[in-house]
Amino acid sequence: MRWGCLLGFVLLLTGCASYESQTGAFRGAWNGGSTGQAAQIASREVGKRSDSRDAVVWFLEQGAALRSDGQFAASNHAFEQAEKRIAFYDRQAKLRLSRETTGLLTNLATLPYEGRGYDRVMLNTYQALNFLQLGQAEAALVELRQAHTAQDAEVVRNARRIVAARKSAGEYERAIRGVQLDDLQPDLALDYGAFVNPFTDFLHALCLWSLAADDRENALVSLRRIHSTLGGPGFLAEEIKRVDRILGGAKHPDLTYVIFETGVAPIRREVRLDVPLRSEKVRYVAAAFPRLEPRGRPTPAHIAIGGERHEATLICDMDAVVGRDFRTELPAVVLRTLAAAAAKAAIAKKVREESGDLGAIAALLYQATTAQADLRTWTTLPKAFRVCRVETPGDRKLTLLVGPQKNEVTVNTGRVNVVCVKSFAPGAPLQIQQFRLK
Amino acid sequence: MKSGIKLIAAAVLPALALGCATAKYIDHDGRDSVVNVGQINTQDWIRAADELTQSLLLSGAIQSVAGKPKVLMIGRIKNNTTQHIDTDSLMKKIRVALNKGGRALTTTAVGLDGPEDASSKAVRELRADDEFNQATLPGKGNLVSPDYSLSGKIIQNDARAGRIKQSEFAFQLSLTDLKTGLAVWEEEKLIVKQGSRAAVGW
Repeated sequence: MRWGCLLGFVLLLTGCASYESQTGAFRGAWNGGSTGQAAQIASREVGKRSDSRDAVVWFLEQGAALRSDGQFAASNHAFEQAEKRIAFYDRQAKLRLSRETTGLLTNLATLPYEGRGYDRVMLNTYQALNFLQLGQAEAALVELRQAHTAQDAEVVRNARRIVAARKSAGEYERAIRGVQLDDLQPDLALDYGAFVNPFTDFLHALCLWSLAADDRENALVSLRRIHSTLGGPGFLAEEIKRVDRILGGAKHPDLTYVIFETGVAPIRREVRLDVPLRSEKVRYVAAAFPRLEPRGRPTPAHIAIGGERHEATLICDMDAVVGRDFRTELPAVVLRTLAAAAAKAAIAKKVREESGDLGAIAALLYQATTAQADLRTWTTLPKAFRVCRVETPGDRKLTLLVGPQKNEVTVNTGRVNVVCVKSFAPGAPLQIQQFRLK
Repeated sequence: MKSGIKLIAAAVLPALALGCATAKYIDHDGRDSVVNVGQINTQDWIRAADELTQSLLLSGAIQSVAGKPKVLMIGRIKNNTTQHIDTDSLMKKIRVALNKGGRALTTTAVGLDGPEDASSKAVRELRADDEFNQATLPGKGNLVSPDYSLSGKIIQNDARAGRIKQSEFAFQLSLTDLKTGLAVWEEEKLIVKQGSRAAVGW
């Protein structure tokens, strides 16, 4: 009876639908470029889940959807809510016994989503872009400084996680009898190392030299950092020279920067594995692990002015950013998942022994329903950020080319303009927004 | 079951290592201040500014004439380090010291990329506005052109030997006489910091 009550309580904690299935309709609308519908679905979900363990990730989805739909102030409100909750989790002790015990008796998806490192950086980056769109330059610079701080903190956090990961890897290798968990490792076409998000640094640099009253020299620090991380692309080498001349007092022609946000970031799928343990009594445990799944292919982007085409340079591959975070976190996830599976197997065995057939059914149900991987991830992030800079043509008309899609835009007047182009799945309409920096 | 227990212990035991955070006030240039090898800390700014100011004052490059302080503009301070820094942490301290010593005043009406404070210009734009008492507006020809410009560079050089990491920060300043274009004072102050590096990385 005692065991039955415990199992009942745990089943209540476990919850039901995975994040992958929760977000099915939302992702469908988003991938089709229906940003209004996506924003509505996200807002409805936030209404239902604003006090739940999934609140942060849903606020992030809502913020991104509202931003793409042109509702910049509402988008920033959603991002602020996510930020407040992340700050709340940060204020709590880093390791909580109650939290760890819950994870052990159920699964990692039952723990609150506290925001990954790259979420925090992108959250501030999108807020900055929203403020720039609203004409609030000072507020945008505050967000970019916060993104910079979050980025630096993440570099330190990543270093610690790598040390912890090595230790965890040793623990589970000792505990299991050889199973191929390497399949869970994502393929990284690019690796930015400890660097979190070069696009955020690029945007910060652009705002520093064109907007800031002081600290403008820091733009060159950021540009040099990205230049070296990305292997020295010509676009950035030229940008460093140009900004250096501008900071030295040289005049510059009217410039337009086009930011292409293309495709969608990877999602997490569940992989169920029977893992053999080095134990006489519990030989196997059934465990569910997350696996990263990239979506779509990289899409090239260009600007055409008259007959001249300018290719946009890849500044940030979000697949690489998400993949790197996933890879660093994986050993700890595997260890904790196996620990939870072992604990549940032990409880189930005890129940079977003490409560007969009924206990056996309850134990089976308990093990089956609680074996669930944590599939939560910010799904509305793009696959890549590409940037192209051109001298604004006299008629201010640009042709934007993203894969097979083509759109015309007339750039605002101004010395430095930014055009943001967002593409979704192939065939879905492009979203185009622009603002003047200077 | 031993391995299962080991697994559980490995996953849960760290949770017992709960710490508690504390906060306190400290002297901004005292021994309790945090020291980072790869960064310029508060105490480094203070030391560099103090030493550069002393050098500038002792050089006699800026002398007030008949008690009238010279006028200084701030030129470009290049940041050749790997971190975002606020160069005002250095320049403001030097400006304050020169101002208090009566040697020089800094103009905020002229700067390489426009004035540091646009108010001097903004108030003059009220000359066409009848709503303002024109007698209270500054007359033409009152803004003072600078005699000198102060410019410089902050450079970072890192070196590593095994686990020992060393960062060297060079604070270089030049004072240019704007009439002649000659650098009448130049100085470099070095701050070198060393510490051990945690073993991280794949």
